[in-house]
Amino acid sequence: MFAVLAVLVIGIVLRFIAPEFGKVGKPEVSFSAESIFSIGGFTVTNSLLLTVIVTIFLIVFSAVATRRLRSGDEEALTTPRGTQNFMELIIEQLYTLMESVNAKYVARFFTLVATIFLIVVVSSWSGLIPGVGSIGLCVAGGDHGAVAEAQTETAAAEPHEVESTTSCAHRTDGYTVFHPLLRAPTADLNMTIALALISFFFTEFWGFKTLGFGYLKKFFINPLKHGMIQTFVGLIELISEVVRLISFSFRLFGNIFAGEVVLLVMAYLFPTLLSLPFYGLELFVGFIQAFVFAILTMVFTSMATESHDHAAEAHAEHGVAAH
Amino acid sequence: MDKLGVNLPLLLSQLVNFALLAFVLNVLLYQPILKALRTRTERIRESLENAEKVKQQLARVDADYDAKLGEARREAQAILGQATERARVQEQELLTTARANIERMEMEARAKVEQDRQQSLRGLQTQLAGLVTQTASTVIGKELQGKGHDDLINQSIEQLGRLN
Repeated sequence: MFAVLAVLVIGIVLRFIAPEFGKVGKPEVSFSAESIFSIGGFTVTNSLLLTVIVTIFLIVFSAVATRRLRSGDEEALTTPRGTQNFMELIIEQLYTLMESVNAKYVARFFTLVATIFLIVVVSSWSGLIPGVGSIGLCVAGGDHGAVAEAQTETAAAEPHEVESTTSCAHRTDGYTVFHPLLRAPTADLNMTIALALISFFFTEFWGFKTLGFGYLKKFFINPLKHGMIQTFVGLIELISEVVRLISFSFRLFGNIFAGEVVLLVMAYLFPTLLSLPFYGLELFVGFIQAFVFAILTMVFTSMATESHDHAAEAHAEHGVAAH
Repeated sequence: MDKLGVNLPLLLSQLVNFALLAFVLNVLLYQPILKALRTRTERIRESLENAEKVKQQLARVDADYDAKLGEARREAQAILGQATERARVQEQELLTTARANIERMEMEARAKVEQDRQQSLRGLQTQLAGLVTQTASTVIGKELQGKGHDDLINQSIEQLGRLN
């Protein structure tokens, strides 16, 4: 606590006694991920690049963590150490938590939910590594999204202001945009929508697999048998299934993207040290968002496999027995 | 969606990336660790069961030991009681025998004393009769002969016997 206060005080003091120290350019905000290069017509964006790096990191880290276990080392089984211990802690905690939500299908859901948690948390935290978002290329024109286009329009109206605040603008005669080499994958809607689609697909898949066509009975309820209110509730359920795609993807994207913007703005307004507390905040937000995404997926898949209908329950029991 | 940077190839690449990652992590991370956790849990459960069995065996051994100890104590008490009873009986027998012996010896001693006394008395009577006869012979100046002599002796003995 004292360290954080000390950092804040030093940052504020530096702001006044040495205003140029650690000064950064005016932050450029882009909703979309910027393209870095193309391979055979396929554009590789900075977020996709970091996604691949994160994926490789997770695979290598996992391979290192479990190499003694996979080699059948008896000592690794009895006395876990280092990375193995760390990963065992995470996996065991996740498994226990999921077991408390749905003990019946935990083995079936675990791979999906744990992978969502790991990739989201590592992706979100990867955006906090120094250099990510701050090291990049100055590209003429650029393929910015809506905000960048708005900035371009502003730049056309006030060219002087833009030139004085963007580091890229000083280098060339025309307007250039800064393309970071790396961008947090979860700050890209492609990633968050992909995760939401996967979560949605497996929720529906396991719902059908467990309950058969009885799964649809919670959406389409006979008004003559159960009343109009139940029918209306069923329709709302159906809508919420689809709306969940949007809430899942935009909640994660919004939180991580907003966190990056906050860091950029704080670094611009109070250079150097004042953004440090917000790094702590973003670490927390990254973890919470990964946790929320994973647990919601677990809860929705669990709900999809539950039924109030006896025939569907019998199907579910049969499915479990077969499984 | 284009303005938000969403396009199909990138979306598909993210989906493929996730599927690949999930598959690899399942093989490299989840399965080995979950297997290890299950094995460890199983071992701990077995160890606890074994500990419980050992505890129960120990309790049984303790109970057996206590039972045997109690039985041994009871047997020892019984043996002690029997030995005490036997000693008491033997004591009584010995006392009875000793008393009988003492009585017998006393009776024998008394009989012997009586016998000795009678014998002494008879010897004394004989001697005394001789003395009387001798004295009488001396007094009357002639020696008693034959039947008169024997009669006098017997008469003296009878008188002595009456006096005694």
